[in-house]
Amino acid sequence: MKIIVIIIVLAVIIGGAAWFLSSDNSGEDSQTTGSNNAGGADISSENSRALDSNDNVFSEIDDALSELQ
Amino acid sequence: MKKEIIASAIILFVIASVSFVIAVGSSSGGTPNCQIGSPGCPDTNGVQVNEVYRMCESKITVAERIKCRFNNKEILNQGRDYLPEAVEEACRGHARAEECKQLYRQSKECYEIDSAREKKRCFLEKSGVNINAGGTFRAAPDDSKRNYVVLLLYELQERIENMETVGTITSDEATDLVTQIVEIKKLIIEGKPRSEIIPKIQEFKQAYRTIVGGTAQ
Repeated sequence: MKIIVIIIVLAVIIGGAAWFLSSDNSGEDSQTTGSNNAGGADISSENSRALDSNDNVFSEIDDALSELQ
Repeated sequence: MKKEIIASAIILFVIASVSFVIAVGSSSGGTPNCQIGSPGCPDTNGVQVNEVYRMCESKITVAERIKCRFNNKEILNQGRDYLPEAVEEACRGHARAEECKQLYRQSKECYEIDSAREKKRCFLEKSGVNINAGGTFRAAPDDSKRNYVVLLLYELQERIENMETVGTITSDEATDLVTQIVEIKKLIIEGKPRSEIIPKIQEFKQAYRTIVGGTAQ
């Protein structure tokens, strides 16, 4: 009986931790509108998109606008 | 009697001299062989360029001024070295005009850069994003983010102007797109909320897709 209770408690703790971590990540994703920025990188990071096409400039404008207050 | 004749002659001489000076002063000063833009005819050239410059500046609406500049760009380019630098349209008629002009002055060098990656870096720096100290765009002040969007829109504007120059789009189409860009830049510089800016951007993208093509979404 004790073992079952411990397993249930552990399951609740692990499940809660997993939910917490996943909800934190989704919050991060909502701040980046994705497009071509590698891995949703910050606009100013080295691996972010270059302005080498008009479509990329448009995507960059969208990402920058999404960061406005 | 003799004195009266002499006095009349002097008066006539003075009137004739003054008329001559005024006539010379009001002429264009150019010779018939002077071609606009050719060396040795700076005055003729200057008069022509300045007239066109003033004509475009005197138009009432933004679209009319932009259209005028597109239609007279060859003449206006001749006066680049001595014409007063026109105030960027997006910097006119609002309280943040000085900050706006300063942003354009500071970022001018960015538009000379060929490398797309270096150009972006330059835009970020001039916008006030502290990238050299490891700062992120996300953490930058709102004004810096707005500056960055304005510089990106100006980059698009430059590309549209080039399309008009090479004949990919007409001057009317370019005028339509650039006028919309100017309007959006003004909203951003004036600090308008995102909810007011996004519909204008969507409208612009729609016009851009219709005129230029591409996948702007």
